[in-house]
Amino acid sequence: MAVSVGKKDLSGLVDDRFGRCPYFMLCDSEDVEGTAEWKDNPALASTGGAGIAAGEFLDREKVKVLITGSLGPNALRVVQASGVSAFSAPGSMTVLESVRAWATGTLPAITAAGQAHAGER
Amino acid sequence: MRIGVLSGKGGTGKTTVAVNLALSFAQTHKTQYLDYDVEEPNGFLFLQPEVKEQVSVPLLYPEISDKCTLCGECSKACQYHALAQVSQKVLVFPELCHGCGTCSIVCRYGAVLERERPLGLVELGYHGNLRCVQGILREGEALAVPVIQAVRSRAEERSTEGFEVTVADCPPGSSCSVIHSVEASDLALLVTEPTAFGLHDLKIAVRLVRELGLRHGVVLNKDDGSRLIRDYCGAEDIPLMAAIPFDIGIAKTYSKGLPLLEDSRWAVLFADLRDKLVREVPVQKHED
Amino acid sequence: MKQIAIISGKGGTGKTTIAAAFTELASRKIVADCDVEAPNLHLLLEHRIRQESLFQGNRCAHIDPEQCISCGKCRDVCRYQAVEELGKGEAAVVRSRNGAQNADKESRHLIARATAQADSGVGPLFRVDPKRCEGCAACVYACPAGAVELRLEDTGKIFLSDSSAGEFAHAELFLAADGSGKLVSEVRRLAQQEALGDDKLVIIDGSPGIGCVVISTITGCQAVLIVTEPTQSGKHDLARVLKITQHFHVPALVAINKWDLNPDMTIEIEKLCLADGVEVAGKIPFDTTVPQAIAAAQAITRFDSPASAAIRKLWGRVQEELVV
Repeated sequence: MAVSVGKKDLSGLVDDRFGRCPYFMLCDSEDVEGTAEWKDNPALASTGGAGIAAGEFLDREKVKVLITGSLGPNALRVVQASGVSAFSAPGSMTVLESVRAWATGTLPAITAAGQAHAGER
Repeated sequence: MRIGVLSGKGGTGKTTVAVNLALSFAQTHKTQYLDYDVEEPNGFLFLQPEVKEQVSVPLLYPEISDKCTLCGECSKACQYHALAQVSQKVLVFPELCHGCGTCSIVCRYGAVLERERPLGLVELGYHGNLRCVQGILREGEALAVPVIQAVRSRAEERSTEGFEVTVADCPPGSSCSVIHSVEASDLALLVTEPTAFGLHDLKIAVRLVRELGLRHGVVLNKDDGSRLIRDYCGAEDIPLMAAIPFDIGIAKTYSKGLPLLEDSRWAVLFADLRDKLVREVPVQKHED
Repeated sequence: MKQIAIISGKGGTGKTTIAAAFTELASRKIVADCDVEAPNLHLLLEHRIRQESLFQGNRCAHIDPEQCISCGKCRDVCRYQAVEELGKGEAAVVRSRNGAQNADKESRHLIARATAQADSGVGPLFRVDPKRCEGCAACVYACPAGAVELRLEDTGKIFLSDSSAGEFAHAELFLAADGSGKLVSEVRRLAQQEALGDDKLVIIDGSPGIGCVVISTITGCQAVLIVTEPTQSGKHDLARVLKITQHFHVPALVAINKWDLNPDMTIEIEKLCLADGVEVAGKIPFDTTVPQAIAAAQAITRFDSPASAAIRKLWGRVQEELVV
């Protein structure tokens, strides 16, 4: 699974931006602390369509579950096409808390696009 | 003769100057008015031309056919992320596409078909003997330049009418849209107003026309007699081509969407500007 | 963190006057001037630049003249007419366009080679016009000799300043640069960074129009205030900009500036807003104190005048909208 984050730290907060978060925390949901690794979001350097590029990155990383704030319409299309289940966590939650909340089924699934961030490159 | 009317700042009276100057030229020369401000075209509100022709401005975007082998080259090559390949599918995002065709160049399997989507419109009509052409960017679209280029190529199409004068209403700002609108002009008229904002943005416009190597002059609108713009023009050796006084009557006529030439004072003012331009820039029939 | 953008469709309707007033009235805020092509807000805010950075917002193709094999494929694939041919005798054209004395190293090299070619009859040379290049990479992929590459270009400067109204993010777009939408996003990102921790309001002064710059300015905002004026043009442009806010699902409010200059047109605009389900949150009277305030380089709220009072009232309404 992947979580959009601002810091390379499990007690850091969830970054509610998907395409524009600095890092993704990638882990095996069975053992978060043992398998957590942080990867730079490659979409950060792109000059447009960041949500799309981030979605392609998750596909390459074979991610199946995503925790982030919300997804714009384009990002949602990519994430859904790649078979990722996306869940929404508030930016006030730590990464570890968000994964635990997901495991207990309390995070809402993202099924509709949030506001477009077209041009927020 | 091609006159480009521009101003760094919006709302200084660009359209007022372009429309009334075009109407004034139409009395003495074969003239066309072009509205390159495709994001907010306003000239037609004043000129109310009878529209004879309306042409869509298309932009190409890719469609992926079943020849696709999912090699991934197209989505890798696209600089705008208009293509994404995930889980054995290629997704297309037409609204991010710039129509560059790079995907069709890199595809070795001939799987990229290019389709057209409407980016905007070019309209052509007549107000008396004045030919009017405007571009309209479709709401929600980001790319203004292809619409601007479509206006330009329509205006420059060979015609039996033999236009002697073109007056172009250019967009505000200082970016690529302005360059594409003004670069073919013989002379740029920079419209400004006597405020700190007007002066600041006039300086940006002056740098721009100097960079392009265009002859230029200033039209001072809403003139209150102050020295602000006059002193700047004097110091920079830029000719002040006309000064339109601040006048509540002009503001009211403008607000109703009417040209100013009905009032003889302003008809004379624009005729003077026209004659000055004719003296400064030789009038020739456009070659193209 | 919340964000409000002040835009107008038509230029010169009073965006910056209202934005500057809001920066004085709001308590916890960060100010961002996103009218990067013709920024004016800094003229009304006393400020000192704290940090300055170059912005590379655009990629542009460069052809290496040493590797070019004169096949012309780059020119053939370019859909923006950005590739120019420098064949026989055209060195002179380049020379006059760039000014020989100003020519940078690369173009001097090109002029020298093109001139030599004119004598020796070697194939033509090509050059990319950065003003037309969209950075699409078509030529990069089309070139069989690998002679073309995309390079990031400096397109502007971004500033973070300390101002009389708190932190202030602004920018300067280099002349004729492409990618002003990206520069806007970068200014907003800087302001958001500064606003995030403290939950401040980001007040954005936008630009006229409805294209890429405006789209970059409004997406992700909690509210957009559209400042219009009671003129045919103002009404026409308002209708277009409302389609943009609807397209991107950004809640919009409208303010009619100098409403009393044409009360009939004001009524027409109010009807248009009613039909579109958009609230007219304020009407500001024509007031000669406004140009005086601009001349004094101060926000209108520092003066006691009818426009000042109307803008205070408008701010009250906007604030309520932002709380919801």
